[in-house]
Amino acid sequence: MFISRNWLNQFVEVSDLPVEKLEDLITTKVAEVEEVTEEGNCLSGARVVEVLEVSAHPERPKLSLAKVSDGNSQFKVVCGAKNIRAGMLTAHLAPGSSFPSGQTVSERDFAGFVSQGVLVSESELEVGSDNDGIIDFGSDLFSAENPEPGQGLDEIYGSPDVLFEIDNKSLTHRPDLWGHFGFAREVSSILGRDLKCSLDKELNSAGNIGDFFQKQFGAETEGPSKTYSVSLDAKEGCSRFTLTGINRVQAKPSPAWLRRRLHVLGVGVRNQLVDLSNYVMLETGQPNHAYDSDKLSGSQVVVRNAFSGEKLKALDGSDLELSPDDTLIADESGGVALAGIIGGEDSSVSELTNSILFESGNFDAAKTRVSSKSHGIRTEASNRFEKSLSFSQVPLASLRYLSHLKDLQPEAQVFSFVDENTNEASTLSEITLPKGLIQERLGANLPEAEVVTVLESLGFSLEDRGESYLVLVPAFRAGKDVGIPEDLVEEVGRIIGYESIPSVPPEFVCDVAVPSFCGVGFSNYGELLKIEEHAAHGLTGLGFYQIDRHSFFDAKEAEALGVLSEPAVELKNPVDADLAHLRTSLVPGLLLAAKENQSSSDIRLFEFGRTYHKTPAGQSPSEEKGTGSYEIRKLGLVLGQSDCSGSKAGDLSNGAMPSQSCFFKLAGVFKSLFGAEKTELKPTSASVAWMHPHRAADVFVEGVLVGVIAEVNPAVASRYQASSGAKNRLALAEINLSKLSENVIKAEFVATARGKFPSSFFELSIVAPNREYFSTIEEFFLKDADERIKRLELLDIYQGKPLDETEKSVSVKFTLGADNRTLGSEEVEEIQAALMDRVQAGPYSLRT
Amino acid sequence: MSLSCANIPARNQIVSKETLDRQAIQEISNRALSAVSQAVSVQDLNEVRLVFLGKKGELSSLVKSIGKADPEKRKELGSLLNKAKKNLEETIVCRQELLSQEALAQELESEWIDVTLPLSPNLSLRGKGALHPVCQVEKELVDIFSGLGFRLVDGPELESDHFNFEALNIPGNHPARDMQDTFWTSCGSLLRTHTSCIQARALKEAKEKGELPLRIVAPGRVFRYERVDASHSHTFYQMEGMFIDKKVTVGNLTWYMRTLLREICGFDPKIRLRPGYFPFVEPGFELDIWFSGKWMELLPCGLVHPRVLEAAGIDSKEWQGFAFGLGLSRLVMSRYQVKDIRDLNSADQTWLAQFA
Repeated sequence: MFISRNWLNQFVEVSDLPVEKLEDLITTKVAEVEEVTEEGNCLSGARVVEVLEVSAHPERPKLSLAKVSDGNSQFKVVCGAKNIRAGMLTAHLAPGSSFPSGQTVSERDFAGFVSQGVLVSESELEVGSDNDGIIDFGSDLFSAENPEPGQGLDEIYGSPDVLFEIDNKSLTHRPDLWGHFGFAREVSSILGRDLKCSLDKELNSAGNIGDFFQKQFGAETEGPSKTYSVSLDAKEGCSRFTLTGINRVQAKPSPAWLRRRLHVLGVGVRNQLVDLSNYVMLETGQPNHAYDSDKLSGSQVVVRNAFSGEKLKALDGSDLELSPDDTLIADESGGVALAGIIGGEDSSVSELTNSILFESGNFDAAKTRVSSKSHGIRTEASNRFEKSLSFSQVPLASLRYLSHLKDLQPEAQVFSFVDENTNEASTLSEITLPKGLIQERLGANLPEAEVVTVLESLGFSLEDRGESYLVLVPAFRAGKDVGIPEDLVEEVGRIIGYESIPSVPPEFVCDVAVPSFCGVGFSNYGELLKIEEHAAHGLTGLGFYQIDRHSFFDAKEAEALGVLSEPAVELKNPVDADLAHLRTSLVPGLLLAAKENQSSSDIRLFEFGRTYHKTPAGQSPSEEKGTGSYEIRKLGLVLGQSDCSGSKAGDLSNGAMPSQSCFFKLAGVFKSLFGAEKTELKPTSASVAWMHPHRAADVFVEGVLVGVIAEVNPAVASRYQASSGAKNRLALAEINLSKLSENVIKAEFVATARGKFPSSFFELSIVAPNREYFSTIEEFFLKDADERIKRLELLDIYQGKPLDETEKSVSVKFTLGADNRTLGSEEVEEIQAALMDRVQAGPYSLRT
Repeated sequence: MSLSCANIPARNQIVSKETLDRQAIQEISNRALSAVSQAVSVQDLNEVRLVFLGKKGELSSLVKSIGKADPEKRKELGSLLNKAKKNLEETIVCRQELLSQEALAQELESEWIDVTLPLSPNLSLRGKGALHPVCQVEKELVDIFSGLGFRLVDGPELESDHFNFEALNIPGNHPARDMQDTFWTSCGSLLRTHTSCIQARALKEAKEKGELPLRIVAPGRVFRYERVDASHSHTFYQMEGMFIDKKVTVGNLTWYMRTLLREICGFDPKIRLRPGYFPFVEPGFELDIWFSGKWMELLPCGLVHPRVLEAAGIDSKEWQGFAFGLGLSRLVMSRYQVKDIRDLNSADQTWLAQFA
């Protein structure tokens, strides 16, 4: 919304304040000023001139050559406007004056003819939208001004102005600030200056508006008058409705100053009857509407809920189909306006109008909002009603409209007035404000008297009740804005200025603050975050970069990858059709992340992210208040390296260990981070499409399944790695962090003493089937084993001659020892013998 | 794969090219399909294709002899022949897919590894990795607040209307809902539009567990229904803070904000409060910071609205507090001069490496 400084100055003196000062005051105490623009500066340099002669430009058929005079000097100008003619009065910017942009007007040559300045249109001067030709001061538009040659245009259009653009969002809670007078009240309070003209007083002193109108503007002679009645059938939608019948009016053009003011404030210009309606809204903040009374049938206007399917042709030309959610203003034959939003085309004011019905009403904020949204029509009026305007301001619009109209059209007469009001006069809010509360909340040492002064300057009246004040909220703020003592804290705080409040630490007892999660799941959030931090440090140390992927995924792709094992939560309004579901797995995002690095020969990425899951039917934890879902925090890992071998990694000829495979790299990363001794990888029981069926493992920590590590199926990987071909292999891991954190936490324990007795070692090679899992061999040796066997390590795996193709040799090393002695050689030999016996008796054989 | 391609016996009957009839087409077709079913490699299939469908292939040659057939039967035979060719082509493609799947399965079979082997990661050395910039800034802020006695909390991202709006004094048709375009799920829940909903949850929990006073800081991912461009994203991060105690003042709020900003900036920056409207605080402020010769809007804050406390069942006469919100993603972008918000979701290692 724009606020004009000139207009503000009509209500309260601000002309002596520097613009920056006024901007700062409004921003810090009222609402944010987004931009300040100077406007109309060029007007004083522009003059009315008479066109003395016009001739055609000999070379440029579209241009004319003219001689113009401002009464003192003559200028030769070149002009491109079609409406130029000898004898007309028009506007001229002489060389040395300036354009609205600030650029200086200079002499310019048009094919051999020098133009001394320019003749301009309203649009070029930025005082109107008319761009059809240069200003014609002889036209009807200027019948009120009678311009004369030599006159400065500021005398016609008004003096230069400054516009403050206010951020509408910062006015959401201030229904009283949607017009210039509202800002004037604030500025008057901030500066401690009296209002030059108070509309509040004007409204109060008018008393009963009907009587006042009759006395002030009523018909002096008996005439063909008609009295209208109003019926408020939609009490929820409309609490107050006034209708003023005014005749002997003319829909002629508004004076220049009014047209300019509306134009610069962003309102289109029509005729006096419509322009003043808009002017009054910008002045008082109260939207209103003028109907052509001859176009209304019957003598009763009804405010009611629309019927289902009822039609209305709106002023903007759109055909609306209404529903009972819409509040409608109707005459005998049907709807004439969508309440609080837009007028109807059929009852609108035209050039022929000579009698109007002026409406000012109070429409419900929520209903206006719903109705405006459902029809997709937002107007200056609906925008204001949505803020819960005060019903007390309704007659002010009629009062001001009449007053301005009488100024322009003294012959106008009121022939009917009706004010239907369902609000009780006593509905103005009262607040009990405990003394000292404002000081306590602000943390400011403020005398009571100052609190009183500030609140009174804002229009509140206070009654001292001993321990507290009874505060009466001013009528113009009786919307939803001020209702509780805390609202008054803000009122006082902003006016005294928050900078005057000292910053001090609170008095409180500092306590241990353990992280927590408010909601279901994440039972031990603090531990989870610790694990995350641990993983983050470890992973960055190993050269991994953290990524942050979106929460959405393409369900079709997820299904193709085999990770959509449950129906994903679906968005009703996705930004993109392939981002319509919430991810149930990090895998699709990780694959895309790998793809973003397809030119890299070394990919190491990790992500901490949530996946989203529907709560199975029948168990809806009450804490979630019906979200019907739960979330899992996961760790995702991607590793891809060009030196990772693909095929034949299972071939162990020449004694090569298969650790080049990216599966083992990633598995090794996981084990290094979370403990090899706690981690157990088992061939996955549920291989899905994205996994390499023979290079996938379920990850168990302390016996609990926490996730999966797998190489990506090369057929899938090739879809995500357009350029690198089959050489590059990718491994991914997806780990449930809650499960992980629950199981890697070290329980309380008692430390054992340092080992005092040296261990003995013993190596053994066996021959096993070539696809025997090492975990099976390990278990074979360690199940019910001698307790003097402390450890078993893998030394080497060999495949090749002289072994059969179906066999491999596995060499392991045993660590033997006891806590209370050094094992003797006979003891070691005994254990060795037992182990060898175990081999002989079992499915493997000793390799000799 | 439901193929009729197998099990059709081949017949060794030589058909003269001169006598085109149903039987001839049928016979060649059968032989072709049988050959397809016996193919064990892509090369085999290519051969079958050449023999039957190639330029001089058996079926293709029949086409040429249609002209010699009984004119009345030409149309019927032509269509029969086309069908046979199409069927054969489809069968070949089908078989080819099957064979390549088998080949891949075999290939993958040969790639069997013993996933239980206890091997070291064997990673080549490279520079230190990096935490995501949002994560780094978040940690920095959380550390400051932890030191000030604030507890880190979070809540679900799939949130209910209650915690995201209602409990924060934003009822059904409140205009403030327009400012936050919301993603709704078909289950009726929504993606939280701000971290403020964590306030509502934490208050409720604190009340239920008798854990007042409450001091929390809540960083998290939030969502707005918005098209993505250089300066907007449907996903970004915020950090919420709340301090609930007895007798909390605006002066306390500014003290914490000054402390926070001193820690972030390394000096005491000039700040100001001005009125700002947020339904869950009263009074509500925008905190501006003096930066490069002008005021910059930095963070919204205010005293917690009594209705927010009361929605959690807390007596607002006894307890008060302040709350603030910080745009984490914005902060990251301004600190590192990131011009395009989409960079924050990039997985490009070269970009990420800067933050090491």
